[in-house]
Amino acid sequence: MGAAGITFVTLAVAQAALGVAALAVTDRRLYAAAIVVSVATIALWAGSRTIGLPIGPEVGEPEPVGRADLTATLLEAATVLAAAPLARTDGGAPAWRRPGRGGVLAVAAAAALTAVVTWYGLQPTSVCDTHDASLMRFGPLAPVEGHSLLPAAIPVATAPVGQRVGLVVGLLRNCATSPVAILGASVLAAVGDGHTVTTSRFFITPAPPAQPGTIVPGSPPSCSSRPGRPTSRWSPTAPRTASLS
Amino acid sequence: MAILLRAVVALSLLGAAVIHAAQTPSHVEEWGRPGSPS
Repeated sequence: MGAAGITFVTLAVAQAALGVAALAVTDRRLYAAAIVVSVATIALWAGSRTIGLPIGPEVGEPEPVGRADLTATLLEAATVLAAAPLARTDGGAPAWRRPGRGGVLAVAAAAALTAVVTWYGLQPTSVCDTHDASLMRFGPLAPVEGHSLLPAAIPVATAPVGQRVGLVVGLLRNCATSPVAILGASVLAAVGDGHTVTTSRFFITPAPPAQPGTIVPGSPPSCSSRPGRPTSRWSPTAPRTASLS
Repeated sequence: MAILLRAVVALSLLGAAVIHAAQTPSHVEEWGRPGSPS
């Protein structure tokens, strides 16, 4: 499990433990801990969406805001706002004292609202709107299978000695509003023997499809992007054709 | 009022935990597979 996986598991366990504890315990230290965890998580999220994280597959590259992470952040902000007064007053009455009718209704409304917000955050989104859409800074094609075009268990190809090999580059979804011409593809990175070639980025030129016998221009214009997505930018180091790295 | 605030704290934390738990598999796959950058 990578650093991100460990971070998410740790965060989920910590928040679940604090949430369960908050149902049963009224201690200002508990609310203070909830505030610290929530603020730290919000800060980490804000950093990942603005300047990028110092670790992971896309070091220093900001990720787009997604539905799930934005919803989780809203819940954490609600936690901070609600826990702040409790951290100063020790939470008031004991946790399990029977509330009045107004209290029951208020708690029921809060539970319903939180459930709806959580449900909304868990709804699946198009691959074009998910974490993978960060790749769209480089082009409108998004890989359907995570950061790799192919599942790790599927080799790109098996090359018998002396035989020609046909490569399967994978499954992409066009997130643009117009057709995209892939002028060419090349694998830029292969890690280790026996591993699937990893692919993560796509550099797509907006130039029209090359005709047989023509030369692809060397200085492509700016990349096109789908409206509402992060602005595409051309990397001077990027290949001139659609490339997989 | 205090009971409402406590409920918001508890339920919001649990909701965020569920969302983060649901996000975990994709990040494990992206960062942890053989040949991946990390």
